[in-house]
Amino acid sequence: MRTPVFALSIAALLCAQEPKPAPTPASASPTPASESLTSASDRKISYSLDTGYRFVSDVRGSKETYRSVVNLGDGPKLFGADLSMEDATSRWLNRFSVSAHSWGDDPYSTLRVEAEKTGAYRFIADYRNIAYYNFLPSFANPGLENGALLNQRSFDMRRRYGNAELELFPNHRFVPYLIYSHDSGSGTGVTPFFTNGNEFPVATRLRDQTNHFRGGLRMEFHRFHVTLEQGGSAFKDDQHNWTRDRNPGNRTTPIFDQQLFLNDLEQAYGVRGKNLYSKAILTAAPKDWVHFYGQFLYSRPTSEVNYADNSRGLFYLGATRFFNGLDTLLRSEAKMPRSAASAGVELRVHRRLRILEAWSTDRFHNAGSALLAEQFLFAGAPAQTQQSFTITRLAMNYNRQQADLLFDLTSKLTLRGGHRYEWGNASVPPSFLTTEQGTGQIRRHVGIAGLSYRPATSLSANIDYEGSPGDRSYFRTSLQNYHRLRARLRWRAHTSLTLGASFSMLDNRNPSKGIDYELHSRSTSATLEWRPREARRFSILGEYARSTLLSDIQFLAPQNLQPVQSLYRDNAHTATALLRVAPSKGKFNPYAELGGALFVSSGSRPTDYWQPLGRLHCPVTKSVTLYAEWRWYGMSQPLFVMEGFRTHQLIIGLRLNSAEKQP
Amino acid sequence: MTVILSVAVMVLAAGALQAQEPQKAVPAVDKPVQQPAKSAGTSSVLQPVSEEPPGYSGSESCQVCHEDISLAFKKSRHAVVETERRRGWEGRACESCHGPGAKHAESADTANIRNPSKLSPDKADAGCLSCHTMQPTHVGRVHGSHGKNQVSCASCHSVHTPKPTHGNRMTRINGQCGACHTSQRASFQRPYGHRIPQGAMSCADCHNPHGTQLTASLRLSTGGEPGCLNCHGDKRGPFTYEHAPVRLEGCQSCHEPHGSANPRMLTRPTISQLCLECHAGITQPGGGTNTGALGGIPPAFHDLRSARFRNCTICHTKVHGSHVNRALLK
Repeated sequence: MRTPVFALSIAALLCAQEPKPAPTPASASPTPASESLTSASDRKISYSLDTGYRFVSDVRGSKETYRSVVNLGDGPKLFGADLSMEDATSRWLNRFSVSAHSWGDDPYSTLRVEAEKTGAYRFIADYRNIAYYNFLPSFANPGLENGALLNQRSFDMRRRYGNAELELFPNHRFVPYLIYSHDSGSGTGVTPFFTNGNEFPVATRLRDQTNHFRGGLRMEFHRFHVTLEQGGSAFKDDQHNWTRDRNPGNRTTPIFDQQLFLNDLEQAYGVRGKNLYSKAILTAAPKDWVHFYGQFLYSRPTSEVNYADNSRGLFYLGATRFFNGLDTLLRSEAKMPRSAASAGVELRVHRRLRILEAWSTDRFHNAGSALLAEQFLFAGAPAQTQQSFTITRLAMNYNRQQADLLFDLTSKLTLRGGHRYEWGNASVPPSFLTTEQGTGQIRRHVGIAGLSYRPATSLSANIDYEGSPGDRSYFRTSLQNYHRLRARLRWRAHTSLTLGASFSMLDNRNPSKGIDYELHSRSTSATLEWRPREARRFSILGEYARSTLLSDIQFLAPQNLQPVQSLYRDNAHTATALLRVAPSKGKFNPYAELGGALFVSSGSRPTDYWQPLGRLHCPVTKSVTLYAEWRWYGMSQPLFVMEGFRTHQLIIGLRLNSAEKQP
Repeated sequence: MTVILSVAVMVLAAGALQAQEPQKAVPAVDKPVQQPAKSAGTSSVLQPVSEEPPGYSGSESCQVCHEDISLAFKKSRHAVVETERRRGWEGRACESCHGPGAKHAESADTANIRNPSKLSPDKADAGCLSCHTMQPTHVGRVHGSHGKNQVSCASCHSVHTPKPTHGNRMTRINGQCGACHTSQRASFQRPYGHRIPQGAMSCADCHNPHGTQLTASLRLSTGGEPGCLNCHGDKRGPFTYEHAPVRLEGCQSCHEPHGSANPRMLTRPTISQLCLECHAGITQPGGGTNTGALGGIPPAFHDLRSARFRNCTICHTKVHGSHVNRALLK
């Protein structure tokens, strides 16, 4: 901790120094007021840079949980950098900006580039690199009760997402565009390998990649607009699982005096897929009082898979038989053509009355087939080979129709009422114990009501309600007989004071015999934002939320078909706050911030997660600020004590910017 | 119920307080100058007109008094309205939204100018939509909750000032959404959730604030698949052996995307709870289950007294869908 303390001391000393006098106002004066709106021809370049060093103290408790939740490391960091240029007279660029954030081995790095020539083109590129680390023994670990802390489903991956969009404006009616997106993930982890009677945690290497291409033409006219788009994607997903050491697996008891084990494994998935789609969009306003839109999409994703595994060891086949090796080859494919359409109309039949009518449908079916060849190896006996060919099918039709009436009772109060009808059916592959397709239906009449109240421009309140008596739903825990209410209030009581409050509730019941499901959810939150303009020495941001959830349903224990109550309770308090204090009044004087976030919950999975923070900002000049930030992360879960952690973080940073205003 | 009553009392009290402030009263908010009463939709006052129409004063006269707004406007995207002849408002960009301003320029009376911020959101938005409704981002506007709840365009978009180019764009978007959606913002403070507070992604990655035909204005991926697959491409499929809830009700049937205390953002604290709450139907001859819901009970060897059978995804590793095994084991 010596280094951070030393660095903090330097920052404090710098803070203690008198800041340099502010530049004369003339240097920051904007364009003369007499300049007309059409003569903006000056080139303007602005930038900001936020860099520093993050120190992370030793993580007390579970380092794996720290990495799964926070994952910030120490070292030099580029917290943010922006460069933007505006030049109204440039032949190639009117606007250009680059923005990069959280670089330097941070878990969430982003980069964005925008370039535009007014009336010619617009280009936007986006890149994100996100670390996905998850290693928590409390998740899916059958060995946990025996003290084994090896997470059997863990990942240490990087996901990279890139997007580039180019819009061209040859004229103001036709806008062709091209978009390319790339999404990939790669990394290592642990995953179980399943065999009959036992499962073995083994090493895995994951690598997937998807490339999307799409292009289209937007035709924008005074009364209507049409977009035609054609796109496609190609993806691959390769996974390789292996082990070389003797692995006893999760089964601790022998079967017929035989202890199962895995000696050697090679397992590989090779998934290749593609998807071509066509899309058409229409919006139109043939009259001032009628707006219409429609959209149609047809896509045909397919996938082809080559799978192989070779395992050696001692495995259970069934009855009293065992085998010593299994070689599997599989070739499968799936196709899922999909048609989706939606349409809507907004009618302003009267000055006070609007009618909204919307309809949508989504239909698809997935047809899959797999050819499997397996060879069982036995010690001292000939191998046995078996082949199978399987065909599967899943189909869904979903439709939705909704009508809303909005009536302006007064200029400040709008009432809303409506009705939504959802219906559809699905056919799914057979469950474990049958060979026949499962079928499900959804049918739901939903009543809708709401109001918007705006007694003044500074105050607005909304209330939304929807409820359905329920009829049919796909799953036991789906929305069935439910009531949902949301209320939201936002009041700017003063130019410096904003208050907000919200409340939401959901009650859902499925009283059907054999289900008897109840869910009650409540959430209340309040916010306060006080930023006095005249006295910049003090400001407060605060937010508090309280949420409760109770879910109660019975299921049947598979081993004896006896009912078991599944009860889930969650009572959570969440608060965030930031208090800013500037000791003296002035333009470049230092200021401090104190606050943080906390999440405390009790119930089925009680959790405490604290993140207090303190910041000290020392503007040295108009464009240079030194700052220091301290943050503490602490998490504990009483039911999983071994996964708690706590750590300190300290950041010493430098912020440069050309902006005219100080933060 | 107490909370509802409290909120209602607060709203009424605040409304009463606001109503007592005479200077806050906005005259003629519903009757903008020269706006026909019937034009509640795409306002006819916003239609482009030929040169030198009566009642218009030009943007330069606006700049005399509203200097700061004019200078900011010049740097915004809307400045093209001022400069491009084809849009029909050359030299009169201010009046394209505020209506003819000659009378206001002479009298300096706020009653003589159309101020969208004083209008009801519906009428203020009509001005924006006269240009912007003919764009694909507004396809789901009729479905969207923002439009229905009178959340005006200007609640999120700044009409006069240029788009900020400094700072993390995603953080800016999230701050804007979170200002109203406070409960949702709070849920991201749970330990396991999408990286919204860190600025690694924005609310608009999953939701289209202009509205979609899906609940909660969720986005679809480009090919009409769930928007989650934009980033979680390895769950894409189609699979030979699908897990029905993924296709029929989407990822939200098992995951709480905003934040959870469960390491995989599940809607239940343990895996077995999540799975067995659905997989509890006794299969009937001819398909279906005794409860009428999809989801058959696992075979009897799944003895929940053993930890191995309480951690379903240890065996059913491909729970999102499998290319190899019908029971999602491989």
